[in-house]
Amino acid sequence: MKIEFILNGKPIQAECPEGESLKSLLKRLGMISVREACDGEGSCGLCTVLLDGAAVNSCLILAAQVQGRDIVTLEHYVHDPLMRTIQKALVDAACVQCGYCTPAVVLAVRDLLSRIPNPDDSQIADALSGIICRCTGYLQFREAIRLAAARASDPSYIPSPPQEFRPELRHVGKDREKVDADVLVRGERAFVEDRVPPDACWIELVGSPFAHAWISEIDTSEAEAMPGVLAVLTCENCPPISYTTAGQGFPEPSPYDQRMFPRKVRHVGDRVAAVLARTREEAKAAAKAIRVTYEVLEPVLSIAQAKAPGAPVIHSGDVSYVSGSPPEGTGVRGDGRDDPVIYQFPLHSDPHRNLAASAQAGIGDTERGFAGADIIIERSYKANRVQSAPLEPHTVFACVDSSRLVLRASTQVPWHVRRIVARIVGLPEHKVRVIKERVGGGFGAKQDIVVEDIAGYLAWITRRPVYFRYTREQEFIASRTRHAMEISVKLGARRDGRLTAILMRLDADTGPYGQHCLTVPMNAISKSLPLLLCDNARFEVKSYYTNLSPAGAYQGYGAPKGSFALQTAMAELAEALGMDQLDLLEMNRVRSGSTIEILKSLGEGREGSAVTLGTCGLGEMIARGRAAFDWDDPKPESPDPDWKIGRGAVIIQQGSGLPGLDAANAEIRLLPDGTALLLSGGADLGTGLDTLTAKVAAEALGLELADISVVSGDTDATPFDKGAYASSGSFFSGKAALLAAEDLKAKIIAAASPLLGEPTEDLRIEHRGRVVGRKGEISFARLGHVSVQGQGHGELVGFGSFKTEHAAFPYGAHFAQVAVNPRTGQVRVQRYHAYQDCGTPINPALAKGQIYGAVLKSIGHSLYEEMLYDEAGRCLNPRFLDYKVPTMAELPEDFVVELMPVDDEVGPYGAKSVSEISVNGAAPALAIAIHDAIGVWIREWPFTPERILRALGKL
Amino acid sequence: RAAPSGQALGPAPGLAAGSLRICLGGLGPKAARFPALEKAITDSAHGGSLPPKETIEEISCEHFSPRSDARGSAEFKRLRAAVLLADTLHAMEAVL
Repeated sequence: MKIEFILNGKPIQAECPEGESLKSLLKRLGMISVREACDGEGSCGLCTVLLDGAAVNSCLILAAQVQGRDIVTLEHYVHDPLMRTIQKALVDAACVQCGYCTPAVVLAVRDLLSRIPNPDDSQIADALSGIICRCTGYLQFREAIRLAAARASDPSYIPSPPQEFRPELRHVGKDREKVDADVLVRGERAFVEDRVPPDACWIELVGSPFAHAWISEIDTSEAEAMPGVLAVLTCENCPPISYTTAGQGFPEPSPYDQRMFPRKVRHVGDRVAAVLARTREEAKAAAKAIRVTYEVLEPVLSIAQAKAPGAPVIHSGDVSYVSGSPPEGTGVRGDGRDDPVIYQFPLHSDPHRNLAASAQAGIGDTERGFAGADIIIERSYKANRVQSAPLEPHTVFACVDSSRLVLRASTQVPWHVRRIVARIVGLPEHKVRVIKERVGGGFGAKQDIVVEDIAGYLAWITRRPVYFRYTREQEFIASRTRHAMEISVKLGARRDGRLTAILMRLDADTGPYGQHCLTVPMNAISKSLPLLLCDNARFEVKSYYTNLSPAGAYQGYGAPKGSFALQTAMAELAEALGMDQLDLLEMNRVRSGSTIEILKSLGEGREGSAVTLGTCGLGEMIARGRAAFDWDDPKPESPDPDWKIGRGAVIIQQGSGLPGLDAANAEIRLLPDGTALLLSGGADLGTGLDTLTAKVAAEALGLELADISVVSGDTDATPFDKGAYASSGSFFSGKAALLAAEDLKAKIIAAASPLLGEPTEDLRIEHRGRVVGRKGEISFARLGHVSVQGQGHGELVGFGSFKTEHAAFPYGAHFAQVAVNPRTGQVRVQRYHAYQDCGTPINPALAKGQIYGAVLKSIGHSLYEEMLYDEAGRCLNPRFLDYKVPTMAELPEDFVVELMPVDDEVGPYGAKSVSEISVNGAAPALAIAIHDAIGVWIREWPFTPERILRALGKL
Repeated sequence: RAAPSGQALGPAPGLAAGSLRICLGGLGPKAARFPALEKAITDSAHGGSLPPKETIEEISCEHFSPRSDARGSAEFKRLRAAVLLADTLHAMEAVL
């Protein structure tokens, strides 16, 4: 049918099929600012447009409904003053992280301010609560809207100055505009989907309907003969190569237990076949024509089932070890039918008993420690599967260009993508280029190669441009989730509260494949146990295969669950001792100068060693929380008898990358006009890493941010970086950029010396881009020009390569106050304060934004987020309508983040990591606060109303 | 997660026989009226004023037979609906 309407001020005539949504039509018309994250369900708000001036979800409007009406997308506003004011305010208030939701937010704010020039908090929440943002935690949106409203009525309005750190530095510790914010806030080309040409072919994946089944027959003949079909891949014709999808340093501590298409499917949604066709419709039609005969097996749907004697075996192929020998008593000979499992080195595993990996170690003598205790408690905690839910799902565009395979990817690990895809496709690494585009949220899930292997292979064998994008349902069931875990904690203490022994036993559910199977559960231990000083501590970790959705990396990487168990157990111990829980933590926590012996047994894949801490901010952070919550006074009275108030406090930690394992590199070139091009290997996934590297380089070189462009995460253009995971961005990639800038600085001075006729020791660099000596000076522009004109030094390029053995632990103290209704089981988070010691905050507002976002995510995990499965292993809630993620309506009433700067002697300008740690506090803080309110311990996460009523004995 | 939702019409000042209508959703495939519950609550009113919340909850539970699903067990939904109804009726009484 033909419709006519006004689009961005211009009359449009469009032909559209009946039933087409407005979103689909606008995307066909090239409106790239119209994003989507829920596949037309209407639950994410990312396809917001203005319909006759009002914000609407364009996926819920039929194209036919806009006949004769006025539609505005963000593309309309290039120079509009009010819109520029809104966009600038969002950038200034650090509301642009990954930027995938930003166009929708901009339009919703525009709609709000056109109706209500000075909205209050509830009007702001009402206007924005229909848009999901997984990065920011929403709080800074309020500040942005107030700023926009004030500037709209008074263009000369100047807000009160923000908090700054490190007064002696020009950029570091001060808020500066995020380098990619302007592009993102304008909704311009930035993401993989914006780079896909119209002739790109489409991949449609056929997923398994069964949790555990052999593929006994697969007939693709009908599908292959269908119009537009270019290739069909199955277990019969995919490369016969085993690999892990984990983008970890090679050799990986994850088994190679996956082929591109398995002979045996191991979870609902597992790969059965992929169709490549000219159009999406053709690919979908052909996918439906593939006939598969399954031999259905009994599924393993829990840790208890996985370890039960006689349990169905999930991986029954040959087991081998590249180095080292199989653990004694484990099976290595397969059934001759299943795909092999190959370990790079032994992980104390036994796949034929569903044990993917295990570890145990400790210090001291726990038996003696418990024998010497006056009190012993033992408690078990359970934490279920959650989804990181990046709003941009896994997506990739692959093509062959100049006889090389080029992948435009939404990834955290460009170099691991290159290594893994090159091996699968059968190419040397120089034949593969990976370009990391802006990433619409990663949170760990994009540390795995989930779509790049299939797309890369199909592009290479068909020589066609190939686009592959997961649906939201696939993102839930077939990307990566947080491992479910069951953790038992045994604590022994003297009567005065001093710990005598700690024993943590952890079982993890790694799902059908073993990516991150050891490292995630180990991190649950290594980021919780070292917070407490105890001479006798021991842990046992076991990671089991099951037939539930694949687990993997997710912000926190196991630590949130270890923290939930150990911190809650400490509060339970305090209750048993009749002590204040915070006093007990104070007595047993690490502090400045502590020697952390337990780290001897927690080496990341190698021998560990005890670490003596430098400065630790925990004492000051606890003191600040105590004061803010009047901790030593009785808790506040509830005005409503149905709601009971409780408080909880926890201490948390993380790392800053992996000492001795991670490496980052950067290169910086002085250009002929005296500006600089920074080539960083770091993968900015919306966190602001490119801004951080630009700032440290500008600081070192005496330049402004406007003088530096950052190119990052491109395997052709930039040097190697391990990728963005393990909280390594600021510390590793940031330090590499600083080292590169310092190297360039030394080269600039060396090149200036003969030109100025002065010795290098008399020369110094001054702002902005000058080398100054005793007698004269020369500009960077002159030096840059001369260096490429065949005179002097040659092109001036600085290199930075960073590795370290130094462990920079960020610490935090989180305080929560909740109101719990014991009649309904509802929990309201009234107050949440996060105090974080992140070393020097390089970008204070962006750092806070990441903490707000992490905390709100973890409140969601703690209170309502949970992937639910039926008895056949099918996920019951793989969509935002049924899997609740926090919106602006769920903000705590008093939500505070405070940065506690503590210098780290190795990090760039003293920086440590900031974001990942902040997901570790909410679960134990809320569990402790709920207990304080209603007197029952909730030991299973999330703390749903039903679990709370059950704990109260009401069900 | 979705919790049962519903509304009650009435009571007018004083809970007269036949003046209360209760309709609840989230307990079955569609929203339903509960005439027997309306009568039971009206019968338990003393001097036209509502019984206490606990009594309403107690009376209500036996009238609800929801099914367990991903959103909650039958017993959770039953209790949640009873509390919701008691709170709603008392809130309305306060308004009226």
